[in-house]
Parts: sequence; structure tokens; C-alpha cells
Amino acid sequence: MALLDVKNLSIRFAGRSAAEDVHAVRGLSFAVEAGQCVAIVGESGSGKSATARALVGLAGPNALVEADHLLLGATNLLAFGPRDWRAVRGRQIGFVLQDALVSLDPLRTIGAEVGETLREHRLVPRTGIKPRVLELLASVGIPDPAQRHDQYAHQLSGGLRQRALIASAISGEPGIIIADEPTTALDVIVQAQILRLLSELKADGRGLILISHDLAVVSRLADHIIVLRHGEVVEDGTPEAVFQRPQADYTKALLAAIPSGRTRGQSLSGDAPRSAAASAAKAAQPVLVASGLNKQFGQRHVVNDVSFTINKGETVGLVGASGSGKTTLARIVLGLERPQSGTITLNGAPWSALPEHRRRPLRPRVQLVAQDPLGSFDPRHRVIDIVGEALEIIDFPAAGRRAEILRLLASVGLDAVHLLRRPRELSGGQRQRVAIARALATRPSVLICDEPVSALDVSTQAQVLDLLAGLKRDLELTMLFVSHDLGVIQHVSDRVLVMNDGRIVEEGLPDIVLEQPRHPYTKALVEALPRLPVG
Amino acid sequence: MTIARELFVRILAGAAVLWAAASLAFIVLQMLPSDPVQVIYGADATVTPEMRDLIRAEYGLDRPIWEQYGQFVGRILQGDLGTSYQQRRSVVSIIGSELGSTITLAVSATIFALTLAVFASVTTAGRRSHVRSLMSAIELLSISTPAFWIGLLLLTFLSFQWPIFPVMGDNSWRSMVLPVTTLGLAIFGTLSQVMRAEMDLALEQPFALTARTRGLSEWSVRWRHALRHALIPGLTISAEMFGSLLAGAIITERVFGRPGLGRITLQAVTNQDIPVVVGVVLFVAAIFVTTNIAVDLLYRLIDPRLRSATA
Amino acid sequence: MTDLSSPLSPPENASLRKLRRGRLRPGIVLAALVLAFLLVCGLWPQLVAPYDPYGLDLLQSLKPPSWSHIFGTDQLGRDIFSRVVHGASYSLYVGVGATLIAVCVGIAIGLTSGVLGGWVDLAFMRVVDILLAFPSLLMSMAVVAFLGTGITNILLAIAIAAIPGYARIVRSQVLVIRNSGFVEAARVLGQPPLRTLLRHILPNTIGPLVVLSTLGIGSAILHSASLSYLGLGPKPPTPEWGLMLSEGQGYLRAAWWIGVFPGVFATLAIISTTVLGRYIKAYSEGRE
Repeated sequence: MALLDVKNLSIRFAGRSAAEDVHAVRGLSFAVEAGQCVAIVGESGSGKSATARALVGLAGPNALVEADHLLLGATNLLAFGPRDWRAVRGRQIGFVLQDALVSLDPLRTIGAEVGETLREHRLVPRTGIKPRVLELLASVGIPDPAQRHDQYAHQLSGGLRQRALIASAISGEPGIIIADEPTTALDVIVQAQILRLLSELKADGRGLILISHDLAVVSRLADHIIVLRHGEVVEDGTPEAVFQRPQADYTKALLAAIPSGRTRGQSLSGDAPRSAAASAAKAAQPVLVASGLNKQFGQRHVVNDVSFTINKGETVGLVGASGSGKTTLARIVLGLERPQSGTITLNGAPWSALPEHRRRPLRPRVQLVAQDPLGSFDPRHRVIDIVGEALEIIDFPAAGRRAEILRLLASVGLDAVHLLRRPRELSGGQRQRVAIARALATRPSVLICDEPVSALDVSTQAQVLDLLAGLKRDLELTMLFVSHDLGVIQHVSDRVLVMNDGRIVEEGLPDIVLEQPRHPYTKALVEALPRLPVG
Repeated sequence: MTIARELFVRILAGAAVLWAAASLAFIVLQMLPSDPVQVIYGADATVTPEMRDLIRAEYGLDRPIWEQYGQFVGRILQGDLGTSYQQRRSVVSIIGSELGSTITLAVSATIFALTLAVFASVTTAGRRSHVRSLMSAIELLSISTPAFWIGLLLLTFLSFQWPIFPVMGDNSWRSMVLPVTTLGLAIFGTLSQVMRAEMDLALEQPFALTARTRGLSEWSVRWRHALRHALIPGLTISAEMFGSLLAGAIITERVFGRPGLGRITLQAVTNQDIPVVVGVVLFVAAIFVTTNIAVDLLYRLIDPRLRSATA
Repeated sequence: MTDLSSPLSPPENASLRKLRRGRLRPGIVLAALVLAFLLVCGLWPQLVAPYDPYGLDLLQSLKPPSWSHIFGTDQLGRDIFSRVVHGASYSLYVGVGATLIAVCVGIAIGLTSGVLGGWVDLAFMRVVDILLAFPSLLMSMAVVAFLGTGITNILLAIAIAAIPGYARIVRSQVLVIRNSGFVEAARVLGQPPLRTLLRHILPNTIGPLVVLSTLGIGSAILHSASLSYLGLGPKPPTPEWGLMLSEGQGYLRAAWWIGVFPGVFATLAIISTTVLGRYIKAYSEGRE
């Protein structure tokens, strides 16, 4: 018998009237067997998290959960009241959330949090709780459990917090574990470790339900993949079937939208087929040259003796884990931070060494597309003001300004209807387009893209990456592209810089650096990268 | 070690606030249009020049201004807040004799309001129900209704119309009920709103979901997890409001004719008995500074994130 | 692929729709009506009040509410309703006046402090910190102790006591805006600092404060009633709400209505400004 059997699950959120009801999920069926993993994959708004919560009876007070049947072993979950659910949670179904700093109560010790299930369900005598918690912490690979037991969430790294969350979920020895985006906030290397830990749980005979937005992440673990879109199942099958012979157009598009080395020079969103990138070997013409940059914050050497060159028309990818110093480096290049030593020249002239009032007239030459476009717009301004402000600064003649704004918007795929919108009224992808239009308004020599697609869904990310690629081809843009995502970097870059602990540890062509890495850190990074088993 | 150092810095900063407050009071005193001698004798009295000189010498008003300032600060350092113009008693002894009654009132009102606010936020946070709407309405009333009017209403209906509680005077607990309710209700609204907003936030946080997936009951999630989060801003507000409670005591004591700090402050203000006004102001500032230091230390107990932040 | 296909509607519709979609709850409408009524009372009391608020009639003293005196009469036989209606002008005068002064001075201090930074900021904020150590009612009382009693002195006292709070808020808002992504974006574009100040920092600082100040009016009215009750405001027989309650306190045993109606009006005035202020605040933050 299956551990959990779901037949024709539907979740509705009641609105103020029947017409405003939101159908989060409909017609979802699957079964979880012991030692098997079911993955539910979808973009934001697909209903995947609502499903996860409904399976533990926590879809919320105004959610209406219906199904032909919802069986836990032989028990009918549909007939459950609050008290019955409480007996199931933690004991029969364990739940692992995405590591946010606050997935564990920040005011309580790790020991109190991990031991809470034991205490609540009185699984071990009071005196036995601490030894059991220490065992659990050790079993999920947390070093020095005795010390961690008395620490708080903020004192642990993201990876350790995620392990503690898993320890808490398995403490009641549940047969089923639901993991909702368990690796999303983590760096690639830590992500690989957590996935390994989850596969160990599966090997122990537990049933695993893995919720993720990332097909590549689930590909290693899943025995069965369900792709959701707007609450409906669009694809349902074994990994081989889903990856090799996807049926739905959406799945195909989703697979095609994932950037990697293989997709370089190709369109991700499938809109405009492009000819292979004409990266003809021109004579290298350096635009931005950094040499010997150093920056320390207190004791931390955040940028350590960094030198690189960006040539005209070239996209240089800068990849590294969080805390590697790549954002500080980007800020130094932008002239927002002053390096303690080293210099940057722009088109052969000094840049970083200039005093602010002399750099200011040159600033339009170096522009930024940031991760959070919403924060980079004045909330009171409309699109026309946002782009117009950039034109005003380069003294663009006032008479032609409106036409120029429209031209810029058109070049990023927006039109006149967006002129009077405020940032809040735009979607995430549209905001990033406006940010790009503003950055291009001053016709910069170098465009710095700092994690420009990290906050976006895969398909929106694909559109923005395609847009940047098109602009690069048409305008011969010179870019420094900063990202933590190896796939994105491999897709966009002509040359790659790998950063770790403030140093550039490896540099070269993306295929060579990321397919045949030499530095141990790059090797670890590449090995940890989840890959799609597509041919 | 670090905590001790932090504490030392805080006490130093608190002392600086007090010193500055004293200096400010002194400056204002100098700018005062009214003549202290006239105040001492009453506005209608005719004062001969000899008497005037005598009084000025007695209160040190004939010395150069810097000397007066030095003496002023020096006396405060020795715990001497001067002498009342009206009562011809030392300000410290006046405050001392009235303090007990006011502190009892303020502390009882704080406990009353905090209990009510904890109860209100635990039962109504994160829910959309009639109870919550009712609580919101009570909070809005508590914030918007002048405390003295609540007092008058309680007095009118619970003492005069239906004599349940004594009007004033006797020292039993029953005479405390109406004043404590009046003062407590005045701060309940703000306290409850802030705590519930924080609790709403805490219940939305992932850790609350994590706790629920462990099989915790709604009640446990609220008491064991969310309440501690709500107590952090609750404490801040309580500390800030302890000062306003002393101000509220002025009103409450007037309504119920109780003795206390409020009554003497009001007398002093009406009669322009400046040494008493300055004394009370400095005293309240001292209370504010001490409660803030105490609350800072309490934070560390409640929020471990602060413990390592300063380490 | 969902990105651009969303239905495109004319931009001004978004905010209009918010208005029209009727989140104007009955409470808000009621508050607006009450405030409008009080405004009429304050500006043209003779339109509303049936009697002279100072007109004594000892034969009619302490009469309970009836058709001829809907709120009853006080110890001197004056019509309480007429007095309460006339009282609105004092409360509105103090509420609006004190808030206006406090907000203007607060903005001046907070902006100077936040924009200049350095020792100016340090000095201003230390003084503000010290002043914030005193409960505002006590500070108002201290100011009255120095200035003397009276309605305009109360107004000044309440304004002075409120200034430090506003200055603090303005200053911290300036700091938030100065460190925001869009000010940095303006810097990256090469915008001169003065233009950034005028274009981004000022509007984003003052906007929220003006909204916040509507909430301040309510608390100013509350303080003015309290100070008057304590006898620090206008002198009898002025029909000020707090003063009326204070004068009537001795007669409560015999005439409950003396203690009720002025307070009802004061509370209504405070509640309605608070409710409207909160609504405006929520609306400007895009929550409604």
C-alpha cells in the first residue's frame, strides 16, 4: 500500500465572492511509496506550496480542500479535524521548509526547536529529550552537536540551519517527509550536500515529497515528477519521460528556458530565433581595466588583489557563492565603493581614483542593472519619469525626450501603455526591462548586471536573458555580469571569472573554466551543479 | 564583560541626558518672565525691597549666573532638588512623601494593561473574527478617549449611579479599582495594538509554520513562539509609557482626588512653583533613563540575537 | 511567457479601481461625516447651537436631557448642547494649529539633521533624545508652567511637546531614503546631490509625514482637552470640553449628563481624525 495516496486533489481559496475564488490546484493525483520520491515542480503561483501545506492540513482557514480521496496509509485525511491533524504532523508526516533565517524560531535554541516534536508528542521521557536531540543533530551531519544544541538559528550557517530543520522534521520518525524548496536559498555546494542528505532519508525507506521551482534540482532525487502550471498538472511521469520526451509545450519551454553552456547563443524563451552569436574574434579593445583591487571591511578581506579587463563588446561573467565578494567588487567597479588600493581605468582614463565631483560627469558611462529593480525606482515616479531622468542627466534635448523614451522602451519590449505606470503596477520582468531601458538611456560604455535575474521565475528569466543577448548583439554592449548561478553565467558569458573568498581563483572561456575546471573551488562548484539529464 | 561595559556606557549616556535636562531646566528658569519672589509671596502681596533682598539671598538668586548654575548642578548631584516656593519644604521630601501612592497606581495600571494586552493579542492575532473587531474597537476607544473622561464616566456610573466602588478616600483595594482601570485603559490600546501587530507578523513567519508542522496546537504556537516576539515591542512601549503613566497619574489623581505625585505637580504648575516643577521633570527623566536601561538588559534575555550582536 | 501577456489597462485605472472597488468601509464614511459636522460646529457654531452658550438661566439649572435641552443643562442652567457645539472651535484650533506648528518645525529640524549629518545631526538628535525622555503631557504642563495658562499657550505647549517626535521621524525617514536603492540609482546615473535631494529625498520624506500629521491632530485634541480639564487652559465660562467636564465634576452625583456629553464630543473628534488619518496612511502606503 502507498504511504500517501492523493486522488483528484483540488484546493480553492475563498474570495469575497464566489467569482473571486482562486482555484490554486485542481485535479492533482499521485501516490508516495516507501523509499520513493515524488517531485512537484512549478513556477510561482503554480499551487505547489499550497499542495504541500494542504497535505498537512495547513492550507489556511479560507482554503477549501477537496479530493476523491486523500489517504495516509488506510486513514482518510479528508475526515480529519484539527486534533487528528496534530497527531499526524511530526509523527507521520514531517515538513521541511526552505531555509530562511526564520524557519527556526530565532528566539529559541536549536535544541528547543529540534526537540519540540518529541516534547509535544511525548515521544521520549523529559530527561531523554536532550540525548535524542544530540543524536538527531549528529545524524543529519551537524558537527559538534553538543555545542550547536545551545546555539540560536542566527549563529548557524544556512547549510547547518537547513540540516537542523531536517533533524526537526525527522525527529518524530515520520514515514513521509515533505520538503518545500529545501535548497533554494543555499549555495550550490551546500545544496548538493542537502540533496545528498535527502537521498539518504529516501534510502532509509521514507517517502519523500519534494517541492521545487527547479527541474534540475529534482532530477537527481525524483522517481516521479509532476509539473504544475496555474494549479493544473501539465506533465506527469518518470524523470526519463519528463526530460527525454516531454509532452506538454510548457514543459518543453521550461526545459528550454534553463540556461547552461549548451544554450549559449540560443534563444531561451523561444520567441525570436537568433543566428549563432557572431562573436567574431575582433582585436581586443580594453574598455575597463581593473588592477590590484583590495577592499577590507574590518578584519575581512572582501576583495583581495583582484585584476581583470573587460574588452569592447564582451560579456564577462563573474560567478561566486554568497559572501565571495562579488557584489562588493561590482560596487567598486560602479564607483560606489572606494578600493583601499588598486585602480580601475575606463577607456584608458582614470575612474576609481577620481574624486566624486570629477567622476560624476562620467558616471553615465558605467550603468547598473540591479537584482531588485523595485528598490531602484522612486516609488512615486512613473516609467516616463524614471527613464526620462536618465536622459535629463545626459542633457538629452527636451523636445525629443518622449520619442527617445518610447524608442528605449520599445528596445526592451515595452510600449506606450507602460509610460504612465508606476513600478508597483509592473510585473517583475517588466520592472527589470524598465531598469535595462534606464541603464541604456545614457549609452554606457559598460553595463554592470548584478544578479539581474535571480529574483525571477525561469521563464521570465529566459526572456530577460534573451533581451540582454539581443541588445548585446545590436548595440555591441560591454557587460560585467554578476551571478551565483553557473548555468546563467555559462549561458551569457564570453569570458568567466570565478571568485572565492575575495580572490579571482580562475579565469577563462566559459567552456574551459566550467567544463574542465582546474582550481579545487571551481571543481567543487561545477560538481555540485545539478544538471538536467537531457541529451 | 561586554555586557558590563555596555551597561557602563548606557549609564554614562543616561547621566548625560539627566545633566542636559537639568541644564535645560536651568536655562528655562533664567528665561522665566515671572518673578520668583512674587510667586513666593503670592501675586497680590506688596513686597518691600528689604524682604525681596532677603528672599533673593535665601534662594541664592543674588549670585552671578554661573555660580547659580554651579550650585544648581552641585545640589542636584547631592540629591537636593531645591526648596518649594509654596510649601517651603525641600522638593525631595515633597516628592518622597507623595511617591508611594503614585508608584502603586502606575505599577498596578501597567500590570493591568499588560495582562489585558497579552490576552487580547494572544486570542485575536492572525484571525479575522468578531472578537478581533471588538478588540480593535476597544483599542481605538482606549487610544481616542481622554483618560479623565473615562475616569469621570466610571465615577458617575460605578460610584454615584450604582455605588459599587467607593468614591475616594479609603485605603482598601476597592478604592484602587477605578483609578487603576482608568489609567490602565489609557495605555492598553497602544500596547495591545503594537503587540498584536507584532504577533500577526510572527504568526506569518516560517517558524510558526514549522512549529505547526511539528503537531503543535494553535495555542502552543501562540504562547510558546509568537508571544515572545510580541513581548519585544511590548516592552519598548511599556518602558516609554511608564513616563506617560506618571503624566497620566496627574489626571487620574485629579479625577479621583487621590494624593500623589500628580497632584503636587498640578499644584506646582498652577502656582508656578518652579522648583517643584523642575524637580518632578528631573525625577521623571531619571525614571525614564533607568527603565530604558532595564529594558535594554531585558531585551538581551528575550532576544538572543542581540546578545551576540554586541559580542 | 506570462510576463507581457497580462491585460494592459490604462495606467490611471489602477488607483481609480482601488478607490472604486469600495474599500471605503462604512466606518470611514461615518468618521468623515462626524468630522464634517464638527467642522461646521467649529466654524459656524451659531448655525447649529440653539442657545447662547453663555446664557445663564438659574431656574433651568441641572435639568436632564429633554426636547428643549437635548443634552440637558448645567449647574448654571446653560444649554449643554450649545456649549458643546461652541467647544468644537477651541479643540479644532488647538488640534490643527499645534500639529501645523509641530510638523513644520519638526520637518525643518529633521531635514537639517538628516541632510547635513555630522556634528549638526549629532547635536540636534541629542537634544531631541533628551526632550523625548519626557512624556509629552508632562512637557506640555511644564511649558504651561512657564508660559502661563490659556488656550494659545496650550496650543504652543502641545506643539513644542510634539516637535521632537516629528523631528525624529523626519530624520530617520531621510536616512532611509538616502540609503535606498533609488537614491543610489540616481547616484550611479551621475545626478548632482542637490537635485537628488529635491527630486527624491524631499518628496519621499515629506509625503509620509503629512499623512502622519493627520493622526497627530487627534492626539493634539486629546492633550488640549486634558490640559483644559486640569485647569491649565482657558478660564471659565469658556465652553471648552475639558473645562466643562472639570467644572461639572462636582455635580455628577446629581446630573450624570454634565459628565457625559462634552466627553462624547471630544472622543468623537479624536476617533474620527484617528480613523481618517489611519485610512489615509494605509491608502498612501498602498494597503487599501
